[in-house]
Amino acid sequence: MNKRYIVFLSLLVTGIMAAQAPKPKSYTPPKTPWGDPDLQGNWPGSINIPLQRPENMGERAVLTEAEKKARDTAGKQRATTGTWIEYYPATEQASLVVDPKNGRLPPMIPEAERRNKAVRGGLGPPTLSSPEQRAESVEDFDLWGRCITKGLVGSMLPGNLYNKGNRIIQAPGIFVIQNEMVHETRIIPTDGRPHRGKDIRTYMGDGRGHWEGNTMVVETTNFVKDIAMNGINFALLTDQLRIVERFTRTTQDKLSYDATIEDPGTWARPWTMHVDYPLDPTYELFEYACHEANYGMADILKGARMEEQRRAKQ
Amino acid sequence: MPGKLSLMVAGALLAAAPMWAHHSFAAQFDQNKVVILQGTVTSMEWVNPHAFIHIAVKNADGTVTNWAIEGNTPNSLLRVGITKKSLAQGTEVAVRGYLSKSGEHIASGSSIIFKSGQKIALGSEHSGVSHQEAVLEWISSDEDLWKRQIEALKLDHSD
Repeated sequence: MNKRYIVFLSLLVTGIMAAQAPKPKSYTPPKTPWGDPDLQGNWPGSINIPLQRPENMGERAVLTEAEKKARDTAGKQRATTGTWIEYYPATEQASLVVDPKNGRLPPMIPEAERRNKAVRGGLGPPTLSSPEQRAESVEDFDLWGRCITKGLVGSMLPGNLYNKGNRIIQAPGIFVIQNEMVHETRIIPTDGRPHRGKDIRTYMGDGRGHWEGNTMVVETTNFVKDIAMNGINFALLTDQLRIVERFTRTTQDKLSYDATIEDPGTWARPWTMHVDYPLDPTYELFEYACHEANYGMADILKGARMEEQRRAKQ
Repeated sequence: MPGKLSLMVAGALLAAAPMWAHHSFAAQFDQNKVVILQGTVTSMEWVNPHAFIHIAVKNADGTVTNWAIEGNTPNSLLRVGITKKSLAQGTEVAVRGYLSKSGEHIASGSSIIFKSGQKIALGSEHSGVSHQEAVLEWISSDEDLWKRQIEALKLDHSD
């Protein structure tokens, strides 16, 4: 038997086996008593995946084992040397952003660049760490630091330092998403009713849901304009912001989540993030009444005034 | 002299700047000023976004200063086994933390030890390890151990 013939036979056998191999069955989630796909449960974002990918990774969306280990080690180091944060393991997913394919946010339009640069006398929109540079008023704190909200999709980002819980509850005509941080609950009608009037705007927006097969699709509009969503604090968004989220239970223990964010007043094109949340029935969602005793705000402002006085005396 | 020396402020050489939670740690606390406080618990404020432990610290001159020690969010503390009843009024504790920039008697708490030898993390320096490892290091309840542990707290963070 010559070598060429053996190769031919091998390819033939492989081809027949491949043709006969059973196709992987798509998972069918359980149903609620009223017949909707049942996505209910605790799906904590206990995962370490950064929003954006390092530029030098290009379009490679999966980390090597060594890269994953390095990211995990850095996460452990951050939790060890940090204050008030928890450790979450890294996964092989290179970035939350999956579209554009380079895993990075699309460029801002020039008008948005100008609008952002003009904020706070040129300092830009406030971030979590901006009070370290300037703490003149609450305006120097981002919405999370002010205990208001992480916004959308900020509330859904995994690895949010602590309070990582997400819970889904369903009722006939209603889809509910609870985020432990910052104690948000979105009650989303799925009965086909239209959005609220365009003048009624909120930080978490106005969501409407519908089923596409086993996927819950939530379209959210009516956001307050000129706010930044947590995790993407460098961009003040406009009232054109529209977010479409897709929730699919792809296995018993996995919830696939995609969110496509479009704001033509900010970005040149829409972008999409993806994460697979693991089911954790043991996770307990606790109340996080952030405003209850946010002494940190007063302490930081007071500390900044003390520093001013000290400098004035010098 | 842990019995008399109730406050020590030491410049700490930290391997890395601490990360923060929902508000900036570095804006609120001085990363270079570690405080070691020994006193008795007067109350536990089980509040969000961060719990506070209030302790009365006897100064060298006999006066008493009330300190507020900021810990992690009650949710994270619960997850490592600390409840609002973990620190009864009158409990003797030693706390290590960072001094507030506001000039008031406020510090972030990173760890706390009891006379019993029990040691717990108030911040996140032990998060990521298992519940049992993070919460308790029960050893014994002897007085010498308590003193040695306070000395160890100082040595660990005064170099």
